[in-house]
Amino acid sequence: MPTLTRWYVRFSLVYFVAALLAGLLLAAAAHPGIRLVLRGLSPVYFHLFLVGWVTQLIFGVVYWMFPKHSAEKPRGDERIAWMVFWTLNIGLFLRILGEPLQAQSPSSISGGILVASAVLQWLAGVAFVLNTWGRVKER
Amino acid sequence: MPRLTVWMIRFALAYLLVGFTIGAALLILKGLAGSPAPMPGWVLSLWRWLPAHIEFLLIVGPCSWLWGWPTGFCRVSAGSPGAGM
Repeated sequence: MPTLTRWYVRFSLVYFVAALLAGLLLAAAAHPGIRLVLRGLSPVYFHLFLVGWVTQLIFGVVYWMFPKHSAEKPRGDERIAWMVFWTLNIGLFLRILGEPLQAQSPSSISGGILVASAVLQWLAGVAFVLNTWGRVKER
Repeated sequence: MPRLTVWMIRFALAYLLVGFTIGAALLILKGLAGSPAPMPGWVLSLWRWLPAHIEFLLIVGPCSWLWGWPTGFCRVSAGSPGAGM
């Protein structure tokens, strides 16, 4: 298993546990006897699961197992692949940080964090597709 | 990789791209929610794309991926009825 895939899988497991914890908090907040203010946690919970866990695991396995791009660069451009990993993770972390803050009391700081998160995750998606496209071929 | 798998995975990647783009636009809108300047109506109407964001990333894209992927493992022998498809 390539180093990058190992990191994808490790991070995806961390996000999986974080998503379960967020789910527990949301379930606790729904209980009438417990008073928790958790604005903005619902979308964070979904994206921890679907970006942090599922998407990251898929990206890691695709990088590992898809057909070779070429003899010189079997997994495409390695620098782009690592850039995808970091932009996706930093972007998701900024969302986890910024979304509850922005839902609680909108400000230019939390708003800026969300905009940065959106740009980073979008860049990760575009770079992943560009780096993977050449590996999807008949031969 | 069979041709059908290639096309299904390419479409899945395209849906991923469109889904990420809509998601990024909606997250930027959330980030701009506290700004003092009022947002134009067409910007706010981007929220209509939320179901498409969910549909592309959760249903259409993964289905295209999951239907295409096993096709790559199905080796059709030369004499079978499905050969040449």
